[in-house]
Amino acid sequence: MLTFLFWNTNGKPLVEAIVELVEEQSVDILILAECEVAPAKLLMALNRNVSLFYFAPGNSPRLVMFTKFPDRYVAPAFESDRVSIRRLALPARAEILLALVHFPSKLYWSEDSQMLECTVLAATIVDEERRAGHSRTVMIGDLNMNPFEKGMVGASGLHATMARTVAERASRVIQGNSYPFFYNPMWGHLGDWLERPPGSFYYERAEQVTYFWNTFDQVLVRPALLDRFRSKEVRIIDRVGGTSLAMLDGRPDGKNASDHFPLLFKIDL
Amino acid sequence: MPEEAADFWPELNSAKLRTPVLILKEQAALLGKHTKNLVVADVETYTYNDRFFHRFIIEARALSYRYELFRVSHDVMLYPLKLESGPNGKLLIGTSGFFNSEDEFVNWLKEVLNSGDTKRVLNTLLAQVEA
Repeated sequence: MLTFLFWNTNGKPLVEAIVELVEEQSVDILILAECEVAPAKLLMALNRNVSLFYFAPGNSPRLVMFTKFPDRYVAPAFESDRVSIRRLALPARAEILLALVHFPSKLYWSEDSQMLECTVLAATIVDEERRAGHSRTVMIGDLNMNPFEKGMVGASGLHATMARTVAERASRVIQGNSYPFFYNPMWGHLGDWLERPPGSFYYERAEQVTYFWNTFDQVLVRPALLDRFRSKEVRIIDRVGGTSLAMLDGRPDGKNASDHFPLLFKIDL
Repeated sequence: MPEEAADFWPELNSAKLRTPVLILKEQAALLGKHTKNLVVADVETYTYNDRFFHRFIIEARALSYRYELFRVSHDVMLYPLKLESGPNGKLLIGTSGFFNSEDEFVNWLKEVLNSGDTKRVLNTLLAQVEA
């Protein structure tokens, strides 16, 4: 079982919080977006007691990765400014593809542009799956989109459905073209009904439509990995040890921590 | 039905062999615990004609820097093992450039990894990574 942690740290020097979270949750693969801490500094902190972690560099400047195994097991397959696709090939285990993403913010990109960019990302992932010869793919990242947005749901976008039973169909055909599904467990993380954070990011604007809480930080899983993935083990985290990552009203504490909450999930490999 | 051919092949047991690459990989895996994985080592193997070549690489991933400490080669019989290249001439002193047995190779390897030159390389890289 591998434990993954993704966190957009918003450029904050959150070394202590990251290390504590990694130790508390026994994280195996740490992925950070908007990390301004030098990889060496973070690596020293992660390995302060035992040298467990390795820096796994790629060429995407917006995403950094640390793993509890040498980086040769998580070699880059595709790299761009905002996307890093790695082939996670541990000895005697089935290879999987990890697609790490940090999409443009809604502050700078329209919803239409985000939606169209999703079609590019979806095609890139399919290309890499074809090259790898399998579709055991997990996508992780700050998508700056909610699970219900068109780029996330649309067939030629990420085609990420809320239900396993739908995703298990593997793909569907529209106008003669076949589109593979992702399963998106983050649909279950919209709102506060289970006394957990209502989302991973809060944004409020004086306009007619505002969602206040957004679930921008997401993990999507291809049908081929569904039997290795349990939705109930996906967690948006708002506390590290005795320290809250939220303000008193529950919103992410962007001043002392990050404006995003971390995302934790596990895959049985 | 054709008669089954007599099998002339022996029983094989590869697990008993400690190959040079295994010895090198063991040592490579141990470097990280001395450096908090800031500087790590790896072994790259390739073949050319009938020989196996092993490069012992020291890496500072945060600097995207790789340094070949030495390279050895052998044929399918493993020994004698040939020292193809070292970091500098000093490491070749006291060797004929060939190791005829595992013991000879292990003793040399211990000396190389413990040498002042190797220590200087590691310390310099660590200082640069931590800067």
